[in-house]
Amino acid sequence: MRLRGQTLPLSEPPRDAKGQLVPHDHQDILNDDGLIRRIPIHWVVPDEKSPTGRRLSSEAFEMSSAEMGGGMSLDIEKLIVETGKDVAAHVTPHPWVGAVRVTAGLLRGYALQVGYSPQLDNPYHAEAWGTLSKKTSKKIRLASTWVVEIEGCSLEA
Amino acid sequence: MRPPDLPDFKHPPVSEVVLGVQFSNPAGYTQIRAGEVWGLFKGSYPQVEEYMPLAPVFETFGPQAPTMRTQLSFVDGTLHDRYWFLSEERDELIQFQQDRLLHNWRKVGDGNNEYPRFEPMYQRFKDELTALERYLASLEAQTLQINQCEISYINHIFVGQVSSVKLSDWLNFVNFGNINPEGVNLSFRETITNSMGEPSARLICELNEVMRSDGDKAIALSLTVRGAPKTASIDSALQFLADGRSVIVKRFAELTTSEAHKIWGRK
Amino acid sequence: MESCAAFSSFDTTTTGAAARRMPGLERLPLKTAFVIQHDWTEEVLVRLSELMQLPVGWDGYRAKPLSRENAVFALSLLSVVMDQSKPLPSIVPTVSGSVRIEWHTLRGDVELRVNRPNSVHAWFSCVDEEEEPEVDLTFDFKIVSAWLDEIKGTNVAIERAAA
Repeated sequence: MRLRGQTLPLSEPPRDAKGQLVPHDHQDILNDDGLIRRIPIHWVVPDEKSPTGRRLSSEAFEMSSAEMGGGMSLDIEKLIVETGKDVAAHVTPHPWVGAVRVTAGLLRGYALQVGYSPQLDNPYHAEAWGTLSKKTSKKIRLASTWVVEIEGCSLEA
Repeated sequence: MRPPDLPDFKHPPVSEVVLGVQFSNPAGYTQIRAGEVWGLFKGSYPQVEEYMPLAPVFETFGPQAPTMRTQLSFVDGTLHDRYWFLSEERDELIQFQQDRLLHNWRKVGDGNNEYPRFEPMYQRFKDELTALERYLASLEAQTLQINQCEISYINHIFVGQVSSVKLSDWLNFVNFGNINPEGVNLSFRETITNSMGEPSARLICELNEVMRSDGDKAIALSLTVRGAPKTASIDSALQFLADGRSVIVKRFAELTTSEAHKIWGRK
Repeated sequence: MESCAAFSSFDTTTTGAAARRMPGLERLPLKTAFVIQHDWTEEVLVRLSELMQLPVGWDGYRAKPLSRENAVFALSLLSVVMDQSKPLPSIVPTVSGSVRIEWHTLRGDVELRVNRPNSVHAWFSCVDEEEEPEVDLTFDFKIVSAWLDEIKGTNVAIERAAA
């Protein structure tokens, strides 16, 4: 039972007969809710066009393969906040050097589903599912904002 | 069924034939299960030997010639041995590792074992691939994801006093004139194209001196066709091998002389 | 020892590759984009080896390390498109155990996402062109080389003076 103002826990996500999570759009993840995407150093690439000489790779906003579920992993900001943790510190322990934020509404605006996908070691885990063209991936990157900025790495170019 | 327009020889100088496929690591398979794979073939291949694994290889095409085959030497701790499952006579064998299955026929001993011809080898390899796929599907629902195929013919075109042989008597593409080279090592590659002129495979031709198992030296002409099948299925891989065989046999006839063809009994 | 033809004849003509290598040149400052001659192979091999050693979950979630077959395929791909006049690629791991190969210059971008061997999603963008083609490739990468020729560095200072 949830107290007033309490978000956790989100309602159970849909699963198939084998208990596997089914891609879905979760009603308790609201359009204004922030979703955090962790950025490892491997996703920072040189770009002569970038004002800083470096930028995020397009891989930062890509779906996984079908055998891995086909989704893009994210953390639900409000769930982290509700447990009293510092968001930046939580999403960037070493070796994950940075993190960016988008809203669920931004992703849904590109016809992506945003669902709740809790893991044993990460109860704040969400996933986005759908098709991401190169153009859409670039738009999402340009619309994202730093939660933990990687020095010298631009979101543009 | 042998294509009717394919050059045919009564006594082809073939010393070894290899049919092979490379596939993505199957889900649920680890090396501890290699004995179970041997069990699929043990009836006809009762002997087993272990060798170092073969690295993955892919034929790709672009403006640069693929002269560099830099192999990743990094050992990630998950390398699987290559197993040879040999027939009693040791003239036929299956090579297996977690991403490969090959079937070899070769001349052994005094070299009198007859080449069984492509069609029976093809059928045996088809049965072996099917058996392997069925076994892997019993571990996890899956089919073989074949990403490369290779067919090789190794021909010993001259056996004996190789220092005295005149290569231009046997090969159309080599003529040393009055030069008597001490040893010959030659290779070239050719892109095989489809009906639309697009690359579909690569032919690799190698000519060198070899020491045979019976102690004689020979001039070996190896022809290999390698590439990706149209789809990842066994049927598509087998079609690639059949097409590759046609390319090899035609090239062999083009690269060798009519005098040599008489000796080999061209029909 | 009985002979037996192995699959994957190793190409023994490595002297050709060694002869093409030139001593590494120091990188010029950013924004002065001259055509640089370099040996790309050493850097790519080091990078691929690095990515094969990543731990599971390297992205903070469930990402896999680069698989051997994808590493070799990526190298095979680069071996038929790269020469010493082409810009050096960035090699970025995907969460599914493969790589994205990227080039970003002042003149444009080329990105190749290797899904698995013989399955590559390619994208190209150039300052001179409005279209940004996206194509699926298997094992023929002629078009990639043409794209790289369009985006490779020139003397930016000369271009600006001419403008």
